[in-house]
Amino acid sequence: MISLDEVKHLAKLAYLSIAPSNLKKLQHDLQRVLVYVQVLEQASATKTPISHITGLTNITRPDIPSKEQASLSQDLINVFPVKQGRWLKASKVIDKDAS
Amino acid sequence: MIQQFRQDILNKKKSALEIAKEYLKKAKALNKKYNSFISFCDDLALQTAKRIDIKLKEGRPLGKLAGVPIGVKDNILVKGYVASAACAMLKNYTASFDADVVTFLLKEDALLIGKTNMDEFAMGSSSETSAYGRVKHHQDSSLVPGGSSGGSAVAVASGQVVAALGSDTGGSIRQPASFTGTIGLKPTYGKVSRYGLIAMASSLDQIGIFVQDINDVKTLLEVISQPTSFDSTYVPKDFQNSENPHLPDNATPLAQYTIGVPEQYFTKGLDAKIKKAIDALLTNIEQSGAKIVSLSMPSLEYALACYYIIMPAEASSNLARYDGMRYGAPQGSKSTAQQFDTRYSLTRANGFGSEVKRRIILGAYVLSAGYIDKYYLKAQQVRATMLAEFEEAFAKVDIILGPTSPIFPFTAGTKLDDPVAMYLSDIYTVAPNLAGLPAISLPLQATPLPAGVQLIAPQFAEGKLFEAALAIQPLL
Repeated sequence: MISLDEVKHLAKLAYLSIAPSNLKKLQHDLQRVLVYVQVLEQASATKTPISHITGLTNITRPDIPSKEQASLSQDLINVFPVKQGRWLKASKVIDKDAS
Repeated sequence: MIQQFRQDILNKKKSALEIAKEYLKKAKALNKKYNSFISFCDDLALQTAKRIDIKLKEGRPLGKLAGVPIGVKDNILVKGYVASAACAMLKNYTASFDADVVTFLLKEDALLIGKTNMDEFAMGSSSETSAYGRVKHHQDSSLVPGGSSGGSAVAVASGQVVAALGSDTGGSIRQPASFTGTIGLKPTYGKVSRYGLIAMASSLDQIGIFVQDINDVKTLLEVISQPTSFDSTYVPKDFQNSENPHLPDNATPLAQYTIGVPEQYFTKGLDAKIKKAIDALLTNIEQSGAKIVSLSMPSLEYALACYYIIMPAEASSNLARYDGMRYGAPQGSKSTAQQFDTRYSLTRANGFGSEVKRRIILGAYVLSAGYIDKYYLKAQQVRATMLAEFEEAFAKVDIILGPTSPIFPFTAGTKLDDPVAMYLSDIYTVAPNLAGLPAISLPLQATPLPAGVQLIAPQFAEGKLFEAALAIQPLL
């Protein structure tokens, strides 16, 4: 049901490098779960799909900065894995030389 | 039990500092055996204890949880302490703020003893997938304590703490409660703020509690369910649509209850000894005057399948943030953009365990073009049907009752290689998460190993759930 190529492709999309030796086992496990969830095909499905269960909508709060939030932002910066001053250091996504 | 700690301090039988030291020592000593904690919060516990003792000296009122030793699952943030969610990627991540529930506990003078061990990112049913090693069952170290909140369950069962917080996405509080003979409560979705809980599947995750004494449920739930403006899915009290939101002090006689028993909760796979214990309990309940009604809820047969589509879909999105830039230790060279993908993928490959990877890929699969209708949307439709079936059932019955897990605690290592076998231990607990309902697991007696009975109530009817638990407790 799920091919080895599909597993490789999904791993790429999910940014997960999977060792070639683990691919078969992963495919086998995924296949096992997908076979199990097949039972859903027999379930009746007449209702509108729901993703939120308590029915709340449009929940917002006033967008007012508070003193605690100012100190929180420094605390948050402190835990960046790689930083420079107050900046989060990220990997390059576009190469200068790439055309 | 909780009241005793506060009372002992008020009566000067023990100081809060003595309690904090005693429990830190006890928890650490037993941890060598059970591995139920990942880290301890010595400074915080001792500081809080000193503050309580000063308050008492100055004649100021003490908080509701004064001097009560509590464990907090490692996916819940305590400021200044590592919150790893048992994942290697977050071993060095120190929380910058307190989760709302932690703020509420500290405001009531609780002593936070430490962070409890769990399955990595709360993904598992046995507490074996932790990057810090597996949690051992307190009665037999070859067994698992259930999961994912196995550390919290063992910490309470073994008396390392008096209560513990866990999180429950598909049974992660109730199933380990069943495996360890403790009481585990998952509140209604939206009852307790999730601010500061490391997200797994956002539409299902809920913070709840483990205790040994049913009377402690009321105080703890009242403390952790306080209003917040930091979680947009928290349902403000005025909108908690229920006639029974408040937890009563006393049980209502069982004769006033109609209890629903879904036939789908007694299908093959249920251990014969657990079935026998539930049947015996039902007979006792009936003899106490309650009315037992058999229910047929066809959608329950699809609950686990539905869960294993919706949960990985949400988890795969939530876990995209662990990229080595915002969290985690970046791997590989950083010089060129061509290497960006490689770095990102290597960071995640080294940081995540195999169950987490499995769920991320499964989530990506069920959300991908060509499959989203077949899997994800279908599962959401079945979820809607399930909610309707529960609503229909609750028009006829007060409470739904069934086993918490179909099986007893199993031997470590026996289900790790077969994801579906592992998932099946949650077959009865996932439906309340999908329908957002509150549910509690109470320990069943008369079984060789611990097992649990699960009670389920309508959304926000925690009062009714607790009332029924109080009434049924003497029969267990």
